[in-house]
Amino acid sequence: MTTDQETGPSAEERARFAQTWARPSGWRRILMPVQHKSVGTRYMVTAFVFFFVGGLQALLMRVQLAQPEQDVLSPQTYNELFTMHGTTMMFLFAVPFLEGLAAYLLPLMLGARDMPFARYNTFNYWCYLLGGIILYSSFVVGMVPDAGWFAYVPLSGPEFADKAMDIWLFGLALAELAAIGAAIEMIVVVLAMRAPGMSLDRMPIFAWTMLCVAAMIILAFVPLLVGSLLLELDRNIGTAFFDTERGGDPLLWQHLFWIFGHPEVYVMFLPGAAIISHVVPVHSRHRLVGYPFVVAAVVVTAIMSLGLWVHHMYTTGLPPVTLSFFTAASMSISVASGVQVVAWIATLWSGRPRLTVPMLFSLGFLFTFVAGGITGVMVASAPFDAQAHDTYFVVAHFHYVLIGGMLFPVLAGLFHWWPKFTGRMPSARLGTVSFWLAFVGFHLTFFPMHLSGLWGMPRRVFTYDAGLGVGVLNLLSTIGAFIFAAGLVLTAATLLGALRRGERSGANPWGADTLEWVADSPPAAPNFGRIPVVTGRAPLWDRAPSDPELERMSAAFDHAPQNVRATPFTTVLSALPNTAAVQAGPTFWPFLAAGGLAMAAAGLLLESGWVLGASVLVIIAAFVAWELQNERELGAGESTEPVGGEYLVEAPGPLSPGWWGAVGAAVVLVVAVTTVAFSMLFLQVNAPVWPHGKALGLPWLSAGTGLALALAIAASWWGSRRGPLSHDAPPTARGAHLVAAVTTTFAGALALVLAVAQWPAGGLDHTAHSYDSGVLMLVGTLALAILLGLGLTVCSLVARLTHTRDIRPRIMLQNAAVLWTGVLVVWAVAWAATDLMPLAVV
Amino acid sequence: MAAPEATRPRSTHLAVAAVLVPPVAWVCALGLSYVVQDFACTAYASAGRNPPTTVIGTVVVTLDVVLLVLTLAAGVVAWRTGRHATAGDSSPLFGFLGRLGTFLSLGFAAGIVMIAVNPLVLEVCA
Repeated sequence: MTTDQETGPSAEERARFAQTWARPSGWRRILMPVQHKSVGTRYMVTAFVFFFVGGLQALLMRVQLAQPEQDVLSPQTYNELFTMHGTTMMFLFAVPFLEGLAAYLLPLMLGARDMPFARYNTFNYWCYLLGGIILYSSFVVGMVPDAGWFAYVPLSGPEFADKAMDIWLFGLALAELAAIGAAIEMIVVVLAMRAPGMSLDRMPIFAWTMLCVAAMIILAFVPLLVGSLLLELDRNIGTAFFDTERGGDPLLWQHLFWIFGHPEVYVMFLPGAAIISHVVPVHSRHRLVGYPFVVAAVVVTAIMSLGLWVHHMYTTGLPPVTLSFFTAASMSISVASGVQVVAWIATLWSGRPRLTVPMLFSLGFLFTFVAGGITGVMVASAPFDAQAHDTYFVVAHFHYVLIGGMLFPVLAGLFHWWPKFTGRMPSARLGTVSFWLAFVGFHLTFFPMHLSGLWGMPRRVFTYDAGLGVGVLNLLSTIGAFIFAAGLVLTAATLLGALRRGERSGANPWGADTLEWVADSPPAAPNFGRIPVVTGRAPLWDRAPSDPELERMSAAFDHAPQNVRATPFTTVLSALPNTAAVQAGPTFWPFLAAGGLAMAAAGLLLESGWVLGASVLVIIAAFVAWELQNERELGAGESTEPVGGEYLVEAPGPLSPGWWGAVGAAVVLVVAVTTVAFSMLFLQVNAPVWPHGKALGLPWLSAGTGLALALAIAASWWGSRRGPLSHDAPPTARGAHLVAAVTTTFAGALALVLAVAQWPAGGLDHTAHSYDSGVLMLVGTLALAILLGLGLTVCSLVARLTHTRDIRPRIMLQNAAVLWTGVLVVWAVAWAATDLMPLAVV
Repeated sequence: MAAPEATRPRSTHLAVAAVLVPPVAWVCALGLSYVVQDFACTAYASAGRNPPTTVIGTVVVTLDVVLLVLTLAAGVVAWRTGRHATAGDSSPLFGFLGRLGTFLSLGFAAGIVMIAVNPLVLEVCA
């Protein structure tokens, strides 16, 4: 690797560069920062606040369970606490914390200056925070969700749950939106924004893992978002997705929930494992043994995790062969996890380990996670699970996996990267004490639960009979919980104390090997003045001569460009120099847009048309202002000149971030509509009659919608091919862009009208039968997809009307064509589900 | 501007395909096995008719065998890619992709076998 500051831009150029990347000051620091370190820090801090609140709820539950037949908490309060504890830890702590860590670390590890869509990244954070606030507002209004973090129907349906469930669903929906957005960010930064020379075989394990995790989030979180919407529709407008009397099925919720829920476990564990894959080598002073095996294990684990959801449903009466498919998958994944464990042990064995605090937490992870993995293999077996299901054995198992697999690695990572985040070393003595308290406390809490579960104690009960003989075990668990909590509080105190009293750490106190340790501690706003060039898998340990082509790109970006934020965009496989990606600056609009969404949720909860209407105006105003600011900035300064005279600022296709964003949005839409279609197929095969009345059967309207969408694709694609790959096109090309954007807008608007017209023309009643409900949902999904396509097309129109950079509208039209293609697929799937699937009769 | 990913685009595509095919094949094997078996059996049960268990079982196993062959073929391509790289014919990146593809092929092939044997030993629509 070659490092910074070898050549010298002038002092004036450096100052201009620093000014361009300067963080906002004064009140703007609160609402406007978009840089990845600010956003990542906010994610992590917010997540830890929620973690301690969730932990407090757990302690209250342990106090209630310390002795048999206690009444410290009422049954209702207990139900509310275990619901909010699970919801908080899964949705508001674990995943957001890891996304925050990724937002902070990935650009640094990969040699980039920011995330690809910095403003969208901020928008996601605000959605997450506001989602959490909505969830916790339930305590303020005295309507706390109590149906469990899994919200099984019919307990969470209109018959048995009050508005508390709506609060849960809206809060969650915002948090899920944030997670999906963060996933798109992670995919783009990992695939296209790596430092020159960082080919796939040189990519840090953390980056490999977050790439896989991001794909899992898109494939697994979208079904939960769809499921949440179906449940909300059942609850509030009388659809029939989960009502057996009208062709629905409560088991559909379990499928949708666990299609999300099981990968979610690996969304938490895999980044934890990745942290260990960084901490163990650095603190063992040895490269990670078996890097290709570990990458393969991460990929296998990620993919297989998508196919394990039924092992949460072994006792729902599914046929034995169905169970056996998922038992096979569950057994297979344990082998992949085992490969990583072997790699860490081999690295420890081959190196010279130091018993630092990060290493202690890593060893704690290894011990705990292996134990949790073994019980995981036990419950993956359908016959054993039938015995242990819904007992405290399962509670013990998943806490071993989640705390062992995620929390201990996170704490290892925090102690490892704290010097990078803050420039200060945390106290090793206090860190060691906090580790032992947390480790001993954890095992004292959760090991006895294996026994209480096997001895017959069911989970989710607010008390138990003294005759069950599990009083002592529960008392031990409660004592352990307080020791564990003391360890975690001490950990927090140690880290926070280091902010003031910790020794200065320098750039690389551990002698680590990855690029983040090149940057200052804490890193400067642009991360790297000169973009590093990577020549090996451990860039700070490998000192090989680099390619002149890579050095040229590094030199071109040396404290440059100075008037616009930009970072190199490189090729997917080899990270060869490609183009320059513009990075957004501070702005208020993402906050306003997220606030508008939260306001819409509040309007729906309050059933206030005024609030809802105002929120729509706020959302539209925020997005319009956001887009106008984007175009204004992209048309200014050095955006029209190639960086270093060589690297274009944006180019068509995968050479600019927008194309990746459009592909990501299209994939999300297709996953969403496929989820709805599969839900309908599931209901169809379980229903004696499908549909109950007539099918939609409007071939002309449907075909017209498809044709209008095809026209939108053709027009936008045609426009995207006009003009040269530079910033000044001839008037004919400019005219072509305008014609293409206007034609696409009209075609999209026509498609919207035809799609929406299907509902009244079909004469269906969404409250009559789940088929009718499904048609409404599919028409709604298609309309939403078309609206997104229209939004992007209008952006290209704005770009054409406002820009002197002629390549920008061309790129925007191409992105619109990509998104319209996704919309066409949505239309095809929707049509198949409404009109073709009902023809399949046995 | 953009530099070429590799001097031989076909080898690049093959190396990447050999990495991508095994995971996709495994997802298809599990998804199709589940959908064909579970949905077909349930649909017949909902309609009050006896399911053609032999046909369903045969379809599931045939699909799995085809996907297994595809996975192993991807493994062979990946292994050859890795071997060429080791011999110095291409960059270390291709060696890595070759090894990765080979491991993925073996792992997912084992996973497909574990799925495919079930209809052979258990009653398909019990």
